[in-house]
Amino acid sequence: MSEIEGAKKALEGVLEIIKGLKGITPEDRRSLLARAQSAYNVVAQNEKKIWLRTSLGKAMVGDLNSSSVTLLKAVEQFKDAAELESAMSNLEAQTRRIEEETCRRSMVVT
Amino acid sequence: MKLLITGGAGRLGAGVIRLCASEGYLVRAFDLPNVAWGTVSGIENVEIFKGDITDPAQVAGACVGIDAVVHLAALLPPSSERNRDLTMRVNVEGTSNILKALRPARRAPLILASSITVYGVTSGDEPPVGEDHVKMGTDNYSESKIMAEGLAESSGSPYTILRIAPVSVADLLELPETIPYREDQRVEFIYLEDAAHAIISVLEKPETRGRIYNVAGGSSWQMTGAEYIGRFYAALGVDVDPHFSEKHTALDWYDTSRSRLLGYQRTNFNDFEAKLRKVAEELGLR
Repeated sequence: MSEIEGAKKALEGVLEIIKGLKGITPEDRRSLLARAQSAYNVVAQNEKKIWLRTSLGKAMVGDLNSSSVTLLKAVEQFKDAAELESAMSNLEAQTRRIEEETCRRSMVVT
Repeated sequence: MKLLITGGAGRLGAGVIRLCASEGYLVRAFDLPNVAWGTVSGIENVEIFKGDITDPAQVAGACVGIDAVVHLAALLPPSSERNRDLTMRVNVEGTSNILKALRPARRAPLILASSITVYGVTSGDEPPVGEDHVKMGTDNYSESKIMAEGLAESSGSPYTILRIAPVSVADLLELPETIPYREDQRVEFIYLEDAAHAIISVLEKPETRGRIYNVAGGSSWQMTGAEYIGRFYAALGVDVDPHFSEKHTALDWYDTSRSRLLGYQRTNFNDFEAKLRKVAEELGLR
């Protein structure tokens, strides 16, 4: 399995677990689901981008995969909200980097 | 000489600013506060001015003490096609704001970056397309550029209009979902630094005032859409599966004999491919 597929798989797991996660309020559940889904969408929308084949792209996908797996562990072994928030924020930072790089490399024809 | 360069944080803007600064011009770079300024901040002789081209007061402030304006700020496709009102505000009112700010002196020239899209779809015409070809807006962007040209021409201020072909950068760019031209369509791009050289050359040649010039790559850049995409990505060493527009669009081969006095066509397409191959090595694609 490639690292990008690994990240998607991990995020699918995150979404599934959050749906049944105990010890959080319905509002927190909705918020976490929305954030995880948003991260998953960024990965799905960018997985075929050419720049992911560059050295930088490969490194960023590695970081993304690592952050996704960390978040998956955080929801699987849910103990406190702070740890979960930290893992989610780290993942969001990775997806923002991916979005920014894709935007920077978009072809504009005027 | 102190220049105001609007759209200074954009791809072409940053290229023009770097070149101007390296040639000893003092530059005031104007762009929105929330754009990525990293490409031009910290360059010697470059002052950053964060503002909105649609705000007359901010534009007037940016024009104080300026000897010439290079007006590149514009809303570009595809964004320009999503919001006509905003496109007209930025591309037309923005130009008007600059012309009004320059009006008291009527001395500082406006170098207006227009576009070859003002000619509309010319696939049925015999190439190349010259500056005297009829103008025909086909979308918000080209209509806004035609209107901006009209404002400059009727302003009474000194101006030069550059109808610039789509700019190519020697970097890895993502393909859009649909490439906005046909695979068998005539296309002609221009290397970014060559476009920047054309702009600088206009600044230095007062005889270009009141004139309109096509700015495009030249004969080595004249090819079909499929050839351009094929050679671009082959040089990068990347396999792609491009999907081209089924309709002809406003892109063709251009007559650049009038603009040849600007001496800007310095990079032929073979040189550009060599630059792409170097980039591919740096990015780890080759």
